[in-house]
Amino acid sequence: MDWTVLHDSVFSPGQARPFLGDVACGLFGIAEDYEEAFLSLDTFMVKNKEATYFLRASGNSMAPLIMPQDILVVDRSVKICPGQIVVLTLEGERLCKRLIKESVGLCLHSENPKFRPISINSESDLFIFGPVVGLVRQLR
Amino acid sequence: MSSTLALLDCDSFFCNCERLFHPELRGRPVIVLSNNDGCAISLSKEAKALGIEMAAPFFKIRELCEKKQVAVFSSNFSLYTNISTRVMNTLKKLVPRLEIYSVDEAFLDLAHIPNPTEYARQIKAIVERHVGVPVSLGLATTKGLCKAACFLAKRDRTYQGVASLMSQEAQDQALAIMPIEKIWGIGKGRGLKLRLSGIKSAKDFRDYKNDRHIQSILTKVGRQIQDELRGIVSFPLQEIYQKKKEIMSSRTFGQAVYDKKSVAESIATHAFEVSQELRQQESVCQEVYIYIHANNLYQENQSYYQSSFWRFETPTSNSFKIIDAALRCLNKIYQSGVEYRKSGVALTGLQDASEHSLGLFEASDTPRQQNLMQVMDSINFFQGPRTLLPMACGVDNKEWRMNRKFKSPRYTSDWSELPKCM
Repeated sequence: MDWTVLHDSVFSPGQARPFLGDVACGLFGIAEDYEEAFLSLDTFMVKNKEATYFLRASGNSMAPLIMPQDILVVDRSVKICPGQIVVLTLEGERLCKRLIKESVGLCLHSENPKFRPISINSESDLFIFGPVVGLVRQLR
Repeated sequence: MSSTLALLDCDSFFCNCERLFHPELRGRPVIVLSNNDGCAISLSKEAKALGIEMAAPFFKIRELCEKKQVAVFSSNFSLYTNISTRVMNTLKKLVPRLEIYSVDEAFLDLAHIPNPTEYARQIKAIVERHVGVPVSLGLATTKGLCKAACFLAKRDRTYQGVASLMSQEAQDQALAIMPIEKIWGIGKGRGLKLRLSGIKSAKDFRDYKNDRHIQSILTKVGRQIQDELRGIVSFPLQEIYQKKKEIMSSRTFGQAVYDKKSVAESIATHAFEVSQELRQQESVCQEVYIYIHANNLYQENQSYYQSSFWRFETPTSNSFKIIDAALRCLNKIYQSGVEYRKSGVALTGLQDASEHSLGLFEASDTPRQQNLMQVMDSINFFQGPRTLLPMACGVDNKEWRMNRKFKSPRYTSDWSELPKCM
């Protein structure tokens, strides 16, 4: 930007031009150095962009932890461990459940006590999409 | 030591992008149709097994698809490019050098990696786990042999998706059973010419001694492909993105169009799209070329094809100038009384925006015009394509807009279309 033009409009001709211009430029230089100081929620929530997908929660089986309309952040590069909340497809239906290891095998738990756990056996048509590593909710 | 390259190729890419959000379709036949649901452009192996061929017109296979419960999708390019970017960015973290060859293929430099085949297996595992689409890899010393290795990896299950043609014996064996048409850059037309000379397999071609004959029937490219199969590099790895030499956009109308306004809107829309792409690669164009296809209403079965072009004195990338030129071309060739089926616009004579020539009587794009284009491009980038359009493109377009009856949601590029999860 041409700062002299700005000065000319502020200070009438003939008036001594103060040393303001250079100071302003200096400040702008500093500001540029600190540009990265803005926090980004994207980099906070998404550690591995290539492996991260967003999904939309619907239904209240995971309430009160996950509410309808919440955005689930799923990072497929994170290893799935028992106890974790995962997105999976069971018999053609996409679900969000907590994966629990029990003596008989794997079990899918809901947070909402009104929903009964679903036990998984070798014949279940199960496909795990990935672990839920974050939750985004807008309050309106 | 000679180089070690690998070709990574996504298996039935578009189909498997769809399957990522429809896991119930794994193991079932899936096809993806071209723009406007014209023909099949991606087939899963199960669909191929039913006898469906690449580029088969949809109306011919529709009944078969219904009978065999083939999952049919319209093309969802925002999804495919998103998944493609994920695959390529994952690869960039795993190898020092790569060439993105197409939306679903990349050549990787595996030189100096101690056990390249093992590393290729790891690459495959990581891409499949992180991104979620299946891939195959072929290793060899040249791109041509990598293509052959990839063909082998996909065809023969025992390789589990990773095949190496690093050794001479492996090359001899693989090329002997590979039909000539399957070689990279040969295809059906050139394959037929070679078959007439008694060359049936890739190995026949590699070992064919008469170089002059190959040169005469396949030109220089044919000789270069032959060298690649012999392990001599004709096509080195190109890391740097190559700018396109020609940009075009064309589409069959959703339904026949009879009025000039609709044809003009389609031409303007194509012109706007190609000029956007032109600016994206920081080029300017010298010529605008348009064409229109029609059925003649009065003389049945007589198709009507017309084209025209406009040459700029000074090359430009300004959408308004390009649309204006395209519409002037249309005025020269438009006829009433025909039902228009298709239109297209191409930009040729592309030059770098920074170092183009100047015409004597035509000004180059002014900074003001360039700023306007920049603002339009960034609005359309951040707010979604077609947010801001020149009026010439029309506002409603239902006359000629595409048929996309089976399009899946934009799972990865629109907040309102995220996959739902109970």
